[in-house]
Amino acid sequence: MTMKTKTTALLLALFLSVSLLYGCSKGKSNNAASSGDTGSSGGDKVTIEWLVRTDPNMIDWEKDMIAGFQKDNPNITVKLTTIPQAEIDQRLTTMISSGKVPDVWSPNWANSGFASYMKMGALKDMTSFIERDSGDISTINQQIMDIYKIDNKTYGIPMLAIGSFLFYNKELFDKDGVPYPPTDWNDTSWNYDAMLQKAQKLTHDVGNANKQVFGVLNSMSPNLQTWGFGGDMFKPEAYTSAVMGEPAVLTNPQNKEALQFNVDLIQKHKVAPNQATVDAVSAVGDPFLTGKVAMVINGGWGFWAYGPAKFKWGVAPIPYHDGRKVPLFVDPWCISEKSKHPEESWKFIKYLVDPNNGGKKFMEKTSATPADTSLADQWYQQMADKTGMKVEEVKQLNEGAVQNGREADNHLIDKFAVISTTINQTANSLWNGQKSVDQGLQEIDKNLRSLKF
Amino acid sequence: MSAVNATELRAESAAKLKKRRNPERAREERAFWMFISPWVIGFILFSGGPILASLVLSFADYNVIDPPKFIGLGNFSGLFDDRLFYKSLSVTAYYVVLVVPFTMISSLLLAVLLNQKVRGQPLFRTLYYTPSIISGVAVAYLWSWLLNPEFGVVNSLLGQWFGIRGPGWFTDAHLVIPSMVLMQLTAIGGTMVIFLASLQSLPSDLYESAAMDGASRMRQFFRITVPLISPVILFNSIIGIISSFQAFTQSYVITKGGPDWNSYFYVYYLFDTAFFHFRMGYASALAWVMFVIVFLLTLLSLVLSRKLVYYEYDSRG
Repeated sequence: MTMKTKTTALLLALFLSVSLLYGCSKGKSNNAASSGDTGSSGGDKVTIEWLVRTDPNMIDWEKDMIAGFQKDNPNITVKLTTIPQAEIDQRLTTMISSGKVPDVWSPNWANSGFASYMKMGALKDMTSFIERDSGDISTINQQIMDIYKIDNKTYGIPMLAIGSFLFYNKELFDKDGVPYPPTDWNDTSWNYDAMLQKAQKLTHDVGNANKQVFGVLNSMSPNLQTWGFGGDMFKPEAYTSAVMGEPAVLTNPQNKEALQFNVDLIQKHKVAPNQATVDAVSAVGDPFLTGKVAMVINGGWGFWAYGPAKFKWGVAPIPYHDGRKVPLFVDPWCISEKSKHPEESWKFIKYLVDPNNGGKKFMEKTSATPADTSLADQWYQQMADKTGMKVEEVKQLNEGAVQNGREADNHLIDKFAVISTTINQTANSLWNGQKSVDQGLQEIDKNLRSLKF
Repeated sequence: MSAVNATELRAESAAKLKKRRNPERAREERAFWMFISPWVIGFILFSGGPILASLVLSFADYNVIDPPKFIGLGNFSGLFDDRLFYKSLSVTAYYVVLVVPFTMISSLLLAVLLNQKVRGQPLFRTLYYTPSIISGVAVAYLWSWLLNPEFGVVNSLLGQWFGIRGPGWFTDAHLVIPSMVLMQLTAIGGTMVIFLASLQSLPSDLYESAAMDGASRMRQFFRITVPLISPVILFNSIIGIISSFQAFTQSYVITKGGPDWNSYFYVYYLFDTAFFHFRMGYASALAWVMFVIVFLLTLLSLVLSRKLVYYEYDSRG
């Protein structure tokens, strides 16, 4: 009997000590937080957490930013957290649910994207900061600044604004004597039929894995392909309210034209690889970089992603079509709604996008198209040096991409990661020729409607 | 009288003895709890706690940011008209039906082979077990390469030796699950070792007398080996059902659930629900439904096995 009580007592003691340990660590962090709170007004140390996706190319820039910012602001310490992009959603969910959120981060660096986190209430309304310090960010392109303004509240400061283009392999064009496409987005003779004709001349040896060259590959997602033809799988309100709502998959006739065109490229004209081939080739590397695809429609990251190519390449607009819209990819810096140090976080964001300092260094390091207009000329020069194109051509291309651009669907519609998986599951069987376009569109519509959020 | 006294005395001394031994037992008991406490506490805090929490959450609507809202059986009734719930469940069931027999047969076969007395036997055992210690993600990548339709070893050998254009192993809607079953060839090491251990404990006299009676090796295998190791087969099958119901990695790494949802496993759906739909309550409900299904399947295999499994010291002998 006594032994039993002793054992129980022992267990209890163990439990108590464990919970005490927990309590202690909790108490400590609370203390730190509260002393930090007073710190912003008093002068004690404040620590803010900066979450970025793992990218070996950016580490130098990140370290440089932290060192520079801490030197200017000795009372603020920036703690860097790096997480691989594919894991950010999972980690953030646990961080948010436990209330331990990163202060500064970019929701587009998680697969879920801006809209999902904005809708969730995880992002801070930065309007009052922006109004107060409007002079510090006045050079950011206003059209791009407005992308992350929802119901007149701004939730993010754009750090980059990448357009969409058609990249082409100059060597393959030269070999077959095919003239290069133009650089003017308003040149209506550069349309999808013109692209198809070029693709037909460039395609050869399809079926022989070692020799085959495909004329073209549209690597945009199905919905973004429909944009190029004036279509859309969603209603305009979906992009402003962040709620998918009733899909417009079947109601917008351009959707069928767009998807049918791509299916025909693959199945009828056989100038584009099917999904199985793309998957197979992608395992080896980027399809365009393998030199087996003459033209590829892709986001503007091609400007630097195709840097290592062993051949010369050029850039052209996405072919003209009535109502053509092409995606823009704008990544913003945001502050967590639950951040304990919004003021310090805002200060850090201003440092990161400063066109004379952080923003400039970011562009030089990553080659990403800047959202800040005062950096544009330098970027055109940088890209002209890289690609061997003329500065005016790069300028013309990029300005056209912004004019014809609208922010990508995955950043503006809540839970788009789920929506895009749903569309892709069916689209892949379209590209592989297992379903007709009508059948596929109906299935996409049905599947989107049955999504439960 | 004296006899009674004697028994009383004996009883008394026995009680005394017991009392004397008690402190030692208590010390041992105390030590037991001391040493096991890290695991007990670890379990309660890191497994038991979350398990309970998920049970509570399965009755709530919880999007991570706002506090959970109790919705009764709403999550569970929602399952009935959820297309993806049925799809992912049927994909998983199809996979389990194929993979469990496949793993059992191939690992038993391998165990029998590795039980032969041949030169280099320890080396073979090590070699065939090795793939099992590699992480699932690495193995999945390896297979995606082996079975790559354009550049994979398997398809290029099919082309060179037989002139066949190999299929899109992971891109063909009908082949994707069988391909994933095939992938388990590199994951059978653990099952194989358990079979091997049980094969080694079999009494050799049974085989000697069977051989004397003229039973062929085949007959010996089915009449002696299989019945004797039937409890191990049952154990491995149950573990196999449980683990293959949790299939996730291969689909996440190679196919992303495609083509056309044909490798969208139940756990993949659960994962998406939690971390992309941000519906923790619904995901918890999915998890508990899976627990019930696996539990029922385990019970069913235990009941079905009553007639098939032979326990050496069983009264039914």
